[in-house]
Amino acid sequence: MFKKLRGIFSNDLSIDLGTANTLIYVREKGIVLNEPSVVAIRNNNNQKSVAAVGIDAKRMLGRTPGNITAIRPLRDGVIADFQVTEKMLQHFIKKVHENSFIRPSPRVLVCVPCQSTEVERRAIRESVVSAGARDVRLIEEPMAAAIGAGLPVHEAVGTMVVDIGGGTTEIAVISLNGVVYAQSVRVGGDRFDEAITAYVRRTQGSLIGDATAERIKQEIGMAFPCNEVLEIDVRGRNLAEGVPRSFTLNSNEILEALQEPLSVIVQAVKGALEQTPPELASDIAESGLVLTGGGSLLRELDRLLAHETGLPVIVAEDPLTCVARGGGRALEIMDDRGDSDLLSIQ
Amino acid sequence: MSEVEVEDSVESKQPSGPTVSVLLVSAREKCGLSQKEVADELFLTTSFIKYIDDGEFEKIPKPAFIKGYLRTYSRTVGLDGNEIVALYQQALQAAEDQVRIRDVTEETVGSAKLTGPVVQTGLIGLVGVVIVIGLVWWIASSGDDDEAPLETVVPEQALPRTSNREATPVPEDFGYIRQQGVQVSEDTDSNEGGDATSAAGVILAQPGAELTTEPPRTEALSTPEASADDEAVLEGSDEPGDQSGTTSAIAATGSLDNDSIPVGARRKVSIERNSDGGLTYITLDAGGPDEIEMSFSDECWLEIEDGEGDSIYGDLNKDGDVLLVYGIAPFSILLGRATGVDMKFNGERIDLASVTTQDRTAKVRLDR
Repeated sequence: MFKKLRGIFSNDLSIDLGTANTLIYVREKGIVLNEPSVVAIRNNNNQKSVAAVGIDAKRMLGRTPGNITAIRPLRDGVIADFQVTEKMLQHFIKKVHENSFIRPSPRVLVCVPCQSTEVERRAIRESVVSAGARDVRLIEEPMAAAIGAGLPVHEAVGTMVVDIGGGTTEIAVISLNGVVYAQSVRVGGDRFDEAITAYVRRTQGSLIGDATAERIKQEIGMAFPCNEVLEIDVRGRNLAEGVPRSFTLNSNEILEALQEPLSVIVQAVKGALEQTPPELASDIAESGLVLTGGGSLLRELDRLLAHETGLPVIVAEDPLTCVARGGGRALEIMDDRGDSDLLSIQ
Repeated sequence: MSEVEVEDSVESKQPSGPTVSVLLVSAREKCGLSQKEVADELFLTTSFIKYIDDGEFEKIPKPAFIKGYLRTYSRTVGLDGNEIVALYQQALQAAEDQVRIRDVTEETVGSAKLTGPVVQTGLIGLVGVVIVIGLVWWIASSGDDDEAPLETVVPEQALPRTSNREATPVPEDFGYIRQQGVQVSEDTDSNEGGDATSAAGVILAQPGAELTTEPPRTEALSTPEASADDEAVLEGSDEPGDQSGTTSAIAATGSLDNDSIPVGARRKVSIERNSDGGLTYITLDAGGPDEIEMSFSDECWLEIEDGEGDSIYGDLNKDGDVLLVYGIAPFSILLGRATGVDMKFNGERIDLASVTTQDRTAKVRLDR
């Protein structure tokens, strides 16, 4: 009963529980939290406690003594460490209700990968309930992404969404508020970073960290050949000499490094198009497919997919927050129509 | 205001510069590209490009895709996609405003029925109800258990066993310790004869503690001095509630080993922060004659334990921080990134390079 009462003073939330970042959307306020899904755990005499969460925890990475470890509790879009995820969510929910003097108990909609198993979905649901939510609903990420991108999901028209997140890439064909076909491949921004790290080790004989790989990807990463060649100066530990060395990388090298993960995404998109019913395929061929998620910010990725599939490809507005915004909009639709089945919400 | 006047004012707000279509067409022609060539490049039909060039955006079947098309089109003809989309959005907004103002002028005036007194009475009533609900909740929630620490599972059957052995029930506020106690008891569960699963019993069964089954003195949890100490030292910790609960509770037993006390608990430690230019001066006074001065040129985690075995400081320091510590030597200092720290002890410079490990951490013990 008190949970319900506390719920009156809490805001409805939509959470995009991503491998790399967690975003929270609050109704009528928009995106209120966008922090890395990282938790720093302090181990004092085998008694573990949370030292920092989110951006503070990410800042600590690589700069802490032995008794603090930074953990990413989500892997491939699903929970890898249940308790740490719960603590992280608890912290985030409390953070978005900072002004409230009452312990929050919001209604929460969580976006889950479309090919997550029942066990993984149950883990997410229970984790959110333990973090203090009074009611938890789950929505598939591509559906939320499509709503967030402003696509006409309720119409009898086929739309294809490719959501490239940190851990997974979700591809879905949506029509009439439902997912007609969905596929998920475990390739995303993290795999891009790994590919860059491996490439630098192979060609420069130097070891770089995850953060550096991510910076290289964001600053000069490219998915399709382009006239403009970008360069970046990087420092890494030389494997032969054991000392830090500085070297320069250009966008063409990164393009070569990213070939393997990009080809997996291209193959998955082609596979999804093969499986799409002909009527919907013709709709998609006319209007094109939409890219969402942080991975779609990789330069020229839309051109790569357009050339590989022969279809128009566009990047959604503000692709990073599409899923969280779509989840929030789904909550509003659910309230307005009082029908949670409408958007295949569980 | 008449409808004609409203329309005039809206039109005057519309962007005065060239429209999206004009910009795109001129850029396309400058590049020497035909509509067909642009359509082929973007894998769109020529009719879509024609609609965009003519400014007939309403003819494009899915409006959600228009911004995407504009962005790719702009890139193909060498324009900034964001500028073009912003211009389009401006035009769209102006058109929407026009429609909205027209709707308002057509509305009948006087439909509002909520007049002043009605609203006032309703608001007063609502505030009253909220206060009553708040009071009820406040009273009820004060009995709620606090959050359990990580990796702490309380088996249901453990609690009744406790009550069999203990004449005095464990107070509700002591939930954290009771759970911690049960966790420890899981390790010694095989020892059926001697397992004392009561709160105080197990907590005191830690190394260096007296084995008594006296119930915990819960009044220590609410001692203002103890909690103030915790807050001073545990700055930056995410769960001061949990930490302070543990600290106060352990301090209450009074006979534990120093190692088991997490971060400074028994003495008053004051921290002052002052910013001057680019530097932040942090002064930590733990009541002692010895002085350590540390200047940070990089981010570094720092933990300090003083001569009395108390952890007096534990925080992440930033580039530009200058930390002054007054306390009792010998100090045990743990540095997460010793390469970014310059240290002086009682005015004498300490060479950290010789004690820095490969992973840039350093443990230093400073004595007079």
